[in-house]
Amino acid sequence: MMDSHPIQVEGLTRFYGRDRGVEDLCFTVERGEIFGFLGPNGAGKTTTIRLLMGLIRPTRGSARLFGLDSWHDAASVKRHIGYVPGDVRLYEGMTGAQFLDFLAGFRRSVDAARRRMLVERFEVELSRQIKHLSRGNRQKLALVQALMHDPPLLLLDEPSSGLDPLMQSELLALLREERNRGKTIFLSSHLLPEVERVADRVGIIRDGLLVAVATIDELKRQRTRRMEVTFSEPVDLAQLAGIAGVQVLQCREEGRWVELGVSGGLPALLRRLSELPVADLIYAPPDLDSVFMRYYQRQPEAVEERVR
Amino acid sequence: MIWTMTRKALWDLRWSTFWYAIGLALYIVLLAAFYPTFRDVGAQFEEIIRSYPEAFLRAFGIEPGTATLTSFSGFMHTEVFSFIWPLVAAIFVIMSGAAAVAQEVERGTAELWLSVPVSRPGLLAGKLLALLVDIVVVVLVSVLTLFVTAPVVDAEFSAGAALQLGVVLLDFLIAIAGLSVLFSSFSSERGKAAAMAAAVVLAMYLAWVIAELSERFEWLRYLSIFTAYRPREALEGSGVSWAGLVALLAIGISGALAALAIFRRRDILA
Repeated sequence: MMDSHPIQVEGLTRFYGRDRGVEDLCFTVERGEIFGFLGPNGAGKTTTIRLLMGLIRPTRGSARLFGLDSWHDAASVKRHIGYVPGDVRLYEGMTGAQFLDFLAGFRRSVDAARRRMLVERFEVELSRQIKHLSRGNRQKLALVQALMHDPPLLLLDEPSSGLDPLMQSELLALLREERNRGKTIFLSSHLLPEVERVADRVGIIRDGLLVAVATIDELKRQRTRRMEVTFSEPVDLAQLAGIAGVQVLQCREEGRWVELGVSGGLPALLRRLSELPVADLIYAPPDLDSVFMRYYQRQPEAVEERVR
Repeated sequence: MIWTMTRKALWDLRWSTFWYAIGLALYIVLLAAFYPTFRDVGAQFEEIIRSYPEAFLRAFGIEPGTATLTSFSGFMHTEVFSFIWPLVAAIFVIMSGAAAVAQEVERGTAELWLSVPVSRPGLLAGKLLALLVDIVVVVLVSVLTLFVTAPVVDAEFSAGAALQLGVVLLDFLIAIAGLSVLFSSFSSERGKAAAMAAAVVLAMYLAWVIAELSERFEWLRYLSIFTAYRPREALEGSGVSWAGLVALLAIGISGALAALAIFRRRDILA
């Protein structure tokens, strides 16, 4: 079993009535890698994770985890998985400690020292009832339960949501450590910077379709970031459009305002801009849009729609 | 592994089991305490009861022409076990059974609940076992209370009768539990599952009343669990209808098995 891929998805499709959840997903996650699963809200990330967890049945296709079918062998599969759902809901009446004890009761062995280490690292409150915990503390409790039995595969759906920035960094550091220990991590997120910081490869999903699977380096090369430039007087946009790696996405106010897509040639662009009457400039941080822009570019109708 | 689930389910139901068991026991003590008064003026009450329409009496499980209030068994049957006890205990079982799956989905805890390495039928079976234990507790507390109270009010209630009553009450609640869990297995809201189970139980009660009243609709009795619920004979210690008890048990077990099968194949879309 352990010779098989941690995750192997073939033609995985799920429709909700006539609505598409995900369609024809095909990808493999290798042992010891962090696979980022990127997509905007509603793209099908949670549907994919629910299919992997055997919570919903595929309409067609299959997902195999360590060679076991995620639906038919659901109980056996979960021996090897730690799971954090996208919307963490816990048993309100329990204390944190009772909740961890309850879930540990289903596992053959949960190392007390590891559990203690996780509780201390995430600063989890164990003695208070869950109903009195903040969203962040509930999230931390969900992370501890997913990691405490030291599973070879982690399925994490937006695991940093609700965490403060310090705790987000701590989580990413822990995920890197787990990866270095040979663990496989499937990390679903809509936050590009987060995925860029830890993932080895990413799958990009949009409208239920897997748009691309790429390494992080490829992704960084491919992404197109947005730049908005305001000029004090109208300029000839041809001066900008001619730079390699720079595209004019839209312009307004007779050439006084322009939105550029920058996928390369930043030094040349800055040199050119320094010669122009620039009044203001915004260079957007890398986000999902900057990745998707490239894929939109491959679909002319989508570009037109965006420019409009 | 299943025990982990059973322990948690018992813990979840601990307070409602406690309060329902205590509430029913107190009601039994209260009514039994009135028995000596009724016994002394029993003949007059029998007269009054005889003046009620037959249909009204039958609807409350009173067999016209029998010693309704003068015998301890008749009195306890009329005042407790023909209507109030099954009503209150059924509410307890319906609410508890309806929670089994539907509440996990409704509260969004189903995702973590199903993230453990136990099959869905295994997890649900763990909860069903806990529900069975809670039902036994409620029945046991009621029957023991009656057994202890009877001599205090100078009435006769044998150990044999207590055993028979226990079996009848247990079987009745198991049938209701099976139905409630069945509705819970495909529902996403506990309230809806409970409402559906309550509607079916109420419809069965009405079917039984109509069957008792009308020869034309006598066949309706075969559609109702209340036909097999006969605590009066058990209270008297005069034997139980084994066929009826087997039927109740079969309904409970079939409901539970159907629930396990449905839950195994169900999408969890919380």
